[in-house]
Amino acid sequence: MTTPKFANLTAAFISISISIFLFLSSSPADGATATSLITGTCKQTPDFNLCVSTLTADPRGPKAAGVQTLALIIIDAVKAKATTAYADIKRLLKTAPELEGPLKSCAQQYNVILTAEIPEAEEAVSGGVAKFGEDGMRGSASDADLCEDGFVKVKSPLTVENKVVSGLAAVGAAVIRQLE
Amino acid sequence: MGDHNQPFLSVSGDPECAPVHDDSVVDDALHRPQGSSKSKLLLAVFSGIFVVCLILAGGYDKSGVVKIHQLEGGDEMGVGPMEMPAGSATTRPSVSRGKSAGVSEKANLSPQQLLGGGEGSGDGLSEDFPWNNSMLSWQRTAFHFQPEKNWMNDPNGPLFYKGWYHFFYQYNPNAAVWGDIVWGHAVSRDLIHWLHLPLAMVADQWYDVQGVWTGSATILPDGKVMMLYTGSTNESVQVQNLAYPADHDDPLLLDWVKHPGNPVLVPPPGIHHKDFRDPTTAWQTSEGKWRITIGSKVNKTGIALIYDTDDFVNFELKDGFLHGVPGTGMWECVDFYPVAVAGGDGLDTSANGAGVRHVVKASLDDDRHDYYAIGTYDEEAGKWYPDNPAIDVGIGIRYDYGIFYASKTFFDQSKQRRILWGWIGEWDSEAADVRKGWASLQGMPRTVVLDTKTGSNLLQWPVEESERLRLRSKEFKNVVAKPGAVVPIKLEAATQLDIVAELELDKEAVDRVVESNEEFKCSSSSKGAAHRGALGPFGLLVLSEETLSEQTPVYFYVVKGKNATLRTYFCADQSRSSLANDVNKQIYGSSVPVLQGEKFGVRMLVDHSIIESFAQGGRSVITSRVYPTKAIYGAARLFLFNNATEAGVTASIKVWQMNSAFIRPFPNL
Repeated sequence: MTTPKFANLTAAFISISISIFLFLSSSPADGATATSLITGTCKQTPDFNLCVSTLTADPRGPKAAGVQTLALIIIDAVKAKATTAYADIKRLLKTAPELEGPLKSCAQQYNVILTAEIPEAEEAVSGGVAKFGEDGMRGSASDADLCEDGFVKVKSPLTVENKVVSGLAAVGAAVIRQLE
Repeated sequence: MGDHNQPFLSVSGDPECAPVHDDSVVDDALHRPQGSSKSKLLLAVFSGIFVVCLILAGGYDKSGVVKIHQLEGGDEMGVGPMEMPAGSATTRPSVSRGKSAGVSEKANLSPQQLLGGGEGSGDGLSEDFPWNNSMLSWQRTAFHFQPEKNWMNDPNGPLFYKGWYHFFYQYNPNAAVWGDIVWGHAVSRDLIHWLHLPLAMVADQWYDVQGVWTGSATILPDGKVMMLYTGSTNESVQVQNLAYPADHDDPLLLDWVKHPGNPVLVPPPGIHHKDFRDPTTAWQTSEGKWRITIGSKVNKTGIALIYDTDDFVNFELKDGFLHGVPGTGMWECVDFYPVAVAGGDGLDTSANGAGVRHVVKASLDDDRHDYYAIGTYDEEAGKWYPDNPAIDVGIGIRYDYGIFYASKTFFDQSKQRRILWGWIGEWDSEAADVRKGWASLQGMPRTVVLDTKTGSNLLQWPVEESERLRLRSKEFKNVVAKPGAVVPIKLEAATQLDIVAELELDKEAVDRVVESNEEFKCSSSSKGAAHRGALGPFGLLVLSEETLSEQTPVYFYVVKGKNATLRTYFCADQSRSSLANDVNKQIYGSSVPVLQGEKFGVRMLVDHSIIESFAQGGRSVITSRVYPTKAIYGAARLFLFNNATEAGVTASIKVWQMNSAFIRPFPNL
């Protein structure tokens, strides 16, 4: 190779590589790409980014053939977040007795999410009666909100978790709505 | 949103009709023209660098945390811009709620949003309402059908058999939310005093293991009962199954046998396996076959499929559909039945001929409302046509402008009437349902007949047996309510009532007021009953507290339009029905025809957390679920109110205290 050609090639490689690298790293679908199904579905939810990132993070997401799979992924994500939140509530009940009142309410609310509302959503979406799945997700979001709202004059130690559960469940309800 | 981040993707704009998309993965970037060896070298080296970039980019995100799915505190993946796309639900209304005595939520929030209940935090009014057991246990009804605990939804297979009314229903034996659905069962002599029986059918076959869903009964001429119902199979496919009583001599129909050859129907070609459910009662054709219809959809067109059968085991799918309406979505719980043009008695489901119109009804999955239309049935063609396509099924008249879904009629051969059952869900939070241990009611069974005066709608009325619950009555004749007045109707108690009221507007005022071009809808003003017009609103304040901190107005609103014609609307306003913030606060209703010479008439059944309101003899009906926190037990009150600015109202009201129906398990079974 002659020197100028080599220099041109190198410059081309580097600039193209950097461009690709930047595209990929700024995409919310880090590493796993958002399919048109995912983006189309997530556009009709209250939180596009949360929706896309949750769906692409799950191995089933990019392979999903239909909205039903996406709905089940979101429900699983809500379950995971709610499970962690519930564990934290139990821990806080021991370590923060001054917050016992609202924490006990939160324990109740997350218990309802985990034992009633998420199973309802799973069964309904699998069975094709989406509206009960919507109910389960909306109920979960509502219960996370109620937990948060229970901390009236004190700072809630669960704000981030409540927001995530609430936001994710709202996304779930919107995804399920597209099944009807 | 963020399209610059996904330059290679084409985004589908309409997922509704095409739930299955291609999984097109971005690989356009890898395509390069193949050419000279230099290009090949370029490609090879480029690909190598590309792969390296992928590996590096794979573990990197905006916040710097390596693994996306471990959301820790401080993550930046949380709340994006809160768009409000059509049809989606956000859980927090974006406006803060006013004080309880004042303004309700803006009417443009969806019911789901109001139901979500969560307040914006920090405004001091956002406490989770502290429901106590007293408030929650008050909510249970005295004379409406409900199981002892847990969740109920659709009415199933109602029939009258060997002296008993039978009622089956979708039931969750394990929780106060939907799921694990089986068939509950109860019997009654009079549609009022129900006795619970053991479950009729459980999910014990591969073809209904994921749910024993809705179905209908057909009584054959020889008296045998055929029950067709939907099963959700082990693979969540919706199929139709046949069941029949194990012992036709058992008047209680305790045990049921599932046909060994089930399923008798599977989704036909072109019908999605999750859009095929709720078979109807069969009716006879002139060929002597039995015919049923099953709701479904094709894209966004709701349809009713037709099948003929001789034996309820082998079915023939008829060409085309009984009917379909574009844009209405999935038709659940389709119902099809004749009504007599002359009114009067109900008709057997197989009735046809002169003097008969046919009703098609569908429960629309998309908006959870029940719609019906009246029309003509062409038996030979297997088709039905609406009298007025502008108010076709799903785009016209509703049975009920409140909460009422999955309804189903049956012909009561003992009293020659058609009776309507409807599932009344909850309008509180699921958390409250779980806490109180139950959810849902059935409406008071209603007779259904054609309104002979208008010819274009049905009339619904509580079955006459409801009057057996009446105890002591009090009559209030010619009670006057001037503009702005709230008049107490003094009663010994106000939570279990049968109210019959006739109201009149001051005639001179009606003549005097100027014509208005107000375009009124019950839901159009967020002030509900506090929105005042010249001739309305006026009506009753139900389940209200002495100081009106909680009140549920059910009322008429009259508008004098062009050429002095009066238009009347019948509405219910829940915006101030409860101090709790996690219950429905909607305002809803519809227009109602009021004919020349008619007074404004309403009958209301008040039974704790349910109110059923029937206007103009049942021309318009509204069912409400309310959850007061103060206006309960002895603190509940009834008022007459008149918020019209120009006209006085005179009312004659008769109120009965209603007895409990003592609904309980069948004794000594």
